[in-house]
Amino acid sequence: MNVRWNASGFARWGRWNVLLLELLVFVLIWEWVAAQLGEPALPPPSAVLREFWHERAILWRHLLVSARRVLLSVAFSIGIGAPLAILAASSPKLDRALSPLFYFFHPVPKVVFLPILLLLVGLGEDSKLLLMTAILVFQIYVIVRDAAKQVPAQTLDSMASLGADRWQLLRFVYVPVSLPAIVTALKVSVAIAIAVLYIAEQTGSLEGLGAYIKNQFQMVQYAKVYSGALAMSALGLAGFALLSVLESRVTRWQRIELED
Amino acid sequence: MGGMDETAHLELCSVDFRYGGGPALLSGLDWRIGRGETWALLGPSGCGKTTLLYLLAGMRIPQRGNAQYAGEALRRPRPEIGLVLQDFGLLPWLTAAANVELGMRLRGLAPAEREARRDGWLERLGLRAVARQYPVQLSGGQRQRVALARLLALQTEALLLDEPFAAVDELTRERLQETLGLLVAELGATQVLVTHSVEEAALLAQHIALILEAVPIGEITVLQNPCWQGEGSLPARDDPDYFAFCREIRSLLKR
Repeated sequence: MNVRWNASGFARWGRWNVLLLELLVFVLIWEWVAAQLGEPALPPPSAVLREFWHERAILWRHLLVSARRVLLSVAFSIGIGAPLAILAASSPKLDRALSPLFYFFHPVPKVVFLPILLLLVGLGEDSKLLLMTAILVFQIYVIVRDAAKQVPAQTLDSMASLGADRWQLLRFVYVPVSLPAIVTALKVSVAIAIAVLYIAEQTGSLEGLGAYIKNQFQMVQYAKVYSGALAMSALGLAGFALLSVLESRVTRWQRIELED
Repeated sequence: MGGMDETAHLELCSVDFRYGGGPALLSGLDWRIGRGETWALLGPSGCGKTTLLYLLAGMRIPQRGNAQYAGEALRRPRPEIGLVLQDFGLLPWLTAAANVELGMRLRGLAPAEREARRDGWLERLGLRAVARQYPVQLSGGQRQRVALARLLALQTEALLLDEPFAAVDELTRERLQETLGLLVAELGATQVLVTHSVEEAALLAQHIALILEAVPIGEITVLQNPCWQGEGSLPARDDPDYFAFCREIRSLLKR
């Protein structure tokens, strides 16, 4: 068969097929390297998958705990960060008061305060959620505020001439213009939340994928460590998949522009 | 019309204006626009035409003097005054139909009334087929008509238009000019059209306001259009009198 690898043929073949092929190649290389090394810390993917299947009920329980923490912290952060960012973008006074503060604390590596948080708030859920929210809220504020500031002066003039008041400006201009950025911020947040959660669950936690991975590591169960990592990746991928659906809804008017 | 000394519909009274710490743009300017009159404002680029329109719309406040609507000082936009901006001011995340409806939503009209007016104007301006499309999918002429429909749906008494046909092709422009002329006459609205086209001014306005000075502007020169027939019938584009009037305007602008 004559397969021509031009651009359109590639596109027709589908991005998903390409991804599956790439993953297959990756797994095969991994399997081969693991067999060559015979190193316990690098079990072959077949062993990892076997362990993953065997542990599925336990992993599911830990995954639910972690997913709940990710969901709550992202929800808190977006609930605080996005409205503040939109209000700041629409009000020069509020912007002057808030934005320097948020931009100042944004680059501070808040994860290093985990031990202090544990001392002050305790080992329970609160310290984890607090840490994750503290990290995410700055990220979200910066992304959303920058997007909401892009409203052209002409648009504001046009709305003013139609008689829009402050709330109507927020509802019809600032919120819709920020929606794509909010979805971007959510995507970034889910990825960061999972990474931070992994660290937060290492200390004083019996539940959650981070705790599971740490325990298996201490018991030298490397295949299980990989299974835990696989479950954590699945959590991230599921979050991204859900957000992509949301994204395609809120950015319809932008995508049409790209397609033209 | 009746020759009575009634209050002007829109008026600038000894207006001084500058943006922030910028140079003075207007200095002691007077301009009186009667109810139902059609005006075109002509002048070189950057001479402050758009600023004049913003003042008449109540969207800028002069440092001295004031802008008035029916004898009342304008401090903010009023529902009786509608404005179409140069880039049409459509919201890119709303469909054509939703953009037409936007002004009515902001002013709190009941949904049934909104939909009736929206559909009526979409129909009249030939936009039914593109009602569900987003601005980015529309041609320049269609976007312009959406902006016009949004304005007309508000049933304002004064229509302020900032170079409404600058971004559309020649044939579309001619058709839109005729549509606008008809609609303004039908509604009996007061019209102020900012344009840089001498031909457009002579076509669409009974009164031509010329800005002949450099800033700060203290005076506008007013010409009466000899070809004006009113009732929505525009001067013929090949009428020798129309050509002569355009030539007269041009020679004044060049001086």
